[in-house]
Amino acid sequence: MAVMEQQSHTAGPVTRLGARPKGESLWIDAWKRLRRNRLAVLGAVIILINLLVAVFAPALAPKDYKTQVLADNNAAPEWVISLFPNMKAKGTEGGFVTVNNSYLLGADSLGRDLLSRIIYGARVSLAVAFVGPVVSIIIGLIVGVVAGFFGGRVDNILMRLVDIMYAFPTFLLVVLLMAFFRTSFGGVQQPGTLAYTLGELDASMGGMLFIFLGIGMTSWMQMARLSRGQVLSVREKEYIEAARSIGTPTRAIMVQHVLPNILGPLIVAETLTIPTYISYEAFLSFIGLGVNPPTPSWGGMISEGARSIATYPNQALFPALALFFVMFAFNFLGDGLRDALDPRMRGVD
Amino acid sequence: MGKYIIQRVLQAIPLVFIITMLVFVLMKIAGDPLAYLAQDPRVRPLDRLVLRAKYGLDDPMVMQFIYWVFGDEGVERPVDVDNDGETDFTTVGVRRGIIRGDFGESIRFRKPVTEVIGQFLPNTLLLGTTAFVVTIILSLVIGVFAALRQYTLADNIITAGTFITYSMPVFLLALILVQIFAIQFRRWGLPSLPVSGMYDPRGNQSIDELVRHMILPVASLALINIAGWSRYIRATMLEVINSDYIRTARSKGISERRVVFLHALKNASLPLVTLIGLNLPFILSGAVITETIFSWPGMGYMYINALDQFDASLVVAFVLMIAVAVVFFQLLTDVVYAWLDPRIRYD
Repeated sequence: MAVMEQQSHTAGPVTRLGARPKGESLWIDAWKRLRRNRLAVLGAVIILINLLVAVFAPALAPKDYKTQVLADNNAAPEWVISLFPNMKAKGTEGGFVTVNNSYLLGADSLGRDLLSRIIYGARVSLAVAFVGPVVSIIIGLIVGVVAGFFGGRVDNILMRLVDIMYAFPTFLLVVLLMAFFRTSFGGVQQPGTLAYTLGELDASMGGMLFIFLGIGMTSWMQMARLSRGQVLSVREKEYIEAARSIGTPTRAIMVQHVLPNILGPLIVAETLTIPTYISYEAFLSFIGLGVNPPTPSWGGMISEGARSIATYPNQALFPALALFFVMFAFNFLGDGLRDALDPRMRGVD
Repeated sequence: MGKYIIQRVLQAIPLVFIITMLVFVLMKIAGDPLAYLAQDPRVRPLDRLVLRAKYGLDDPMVMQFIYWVFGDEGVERPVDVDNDGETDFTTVGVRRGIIRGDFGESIRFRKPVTEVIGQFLPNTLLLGTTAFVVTIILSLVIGVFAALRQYTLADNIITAGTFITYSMPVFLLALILVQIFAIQFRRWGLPSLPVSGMYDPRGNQSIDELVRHMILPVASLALINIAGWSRYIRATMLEVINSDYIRTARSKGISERRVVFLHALKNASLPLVTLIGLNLPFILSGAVITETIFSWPGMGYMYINALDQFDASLVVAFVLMIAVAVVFFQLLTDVVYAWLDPRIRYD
């Protein structure tokens, strides 16, 4: 691979001195490298499929995700029963599972279709996967760039703040924040207050707003450190000096020269953190602090299914598998992005 | 070296102070600790007034913080029951302050917080330390093995395996383990493993029973962590093994085993010190998810329950304990690192 890259760099058409060579921007170059990484492409495809599933959930879901058919509680289709030897169909000896082939993956303990719930659950996971990084990049980038650019006392104060935040284990803090949000903004509030508005907004989003806030507020520190370091190293580069020497205004330097050059590592770091965000949401829903029922979330479904794992393993295992595939896909895409955007880091991990 | 340690300790002190202050602010924002009494018809307004005075809830914030940290033994607070401007009686503070281990009383357990933590901490330490040791040993073995056989079939299989477990949410792994080793094994008549608690509820509290209960939680914790750690060890090992001094050692004719274990591993384990040091405090916090799945009565389990019951003093003590532990272990890691690698001290 390394040899091929070298060739592609040297074998280009020779450009005359002074003529502007047809440059490949970092992003086009990275895209080419990314496309060659099969696992990353596979990850991207899985994510794309998930995205489509999440967007077109109402069309794809065979049943309504919240309709409870109590007669069909814990029902399962034939193939699931034959897959798990401890599930015995009614009618056979010691059988207890209602056979109903209209539920493609089975039904949960309230008689809701598992497949439809998994399809709708993709919405929550993907929303967290995309909003989590945005929140964390925005906060982290502002703190990091300000600290790196102004330096001195501002830098010192902001970085100590980051140190302090780092002393709290992220997951414990997210859990704490969620409990705090739920108690102070949930429940009955005076209409017109901020707490009321936030509570209403959260309720209308099925409980996702607080998850976004909780995860965003606890995961920007890595971004801040990274972007500060990047700004510090880029600030002293020759091309910045060159830009300054031809009289480019500071803001233009920041936007045109500093930002594009520090963005690569930030995006890579965030993509690699996406599985963590997804798992936070799943964990929160698992311990009952996540989305509000009946909004389906994979973590919540796993938590419900885990209670009857011995008798109906399909109820916990299918959502867990969905979660696994998405985390797997983001891990590979993140890895591929890192290799593509920063070839020097190839093989380090 | 002494100067370096002093310098690092001096940096850590304000950090601990600010963390303590933050936790205090968090506790105050979280709300009135006596609010739950408002619902109780048996509690007269008078009682609430006395309790407010007893806990010093009407003191200035700064004083409340100082009392919370250092205690308020002997501090007298006048209580005006009938609101006529005269002091009817005074309460005397008895708190000893968090600095002397007095975090107040847990609402749920009706016991001092330190006692509650003392009850759950050993269980978490037992589970966490075992999983930690297993993780380190196995990831060292796997990581070094994979690095020595880079890009061979074995390395590729290990890479694929670590990637799969790395993406696995801990509950999927735990559920699969439960499904196989507890449920299917029993069906097949093999010795199956228990899936919840520390002991058999029927009263068999032998070590044997404890070990059997530990296998599944330890396995799921370790497997998840081994994925990331062994990759990390493989990477550092590769870096070292391709460096000049290893080539020199080899060219001198030193046996391969000596090269790997004496020269390479010694240098590769330096970053491992950081990894271990930074992860040690998280043993204390317990693995929330794993403990919940396996109903292991540890710190994570306690924390979730405390949050559920709005047991503020317990939550505060727990968060503060972990945060201080993180700072302490960071400090310790830095010092150990500087001791192992003299280059660090001079930058």
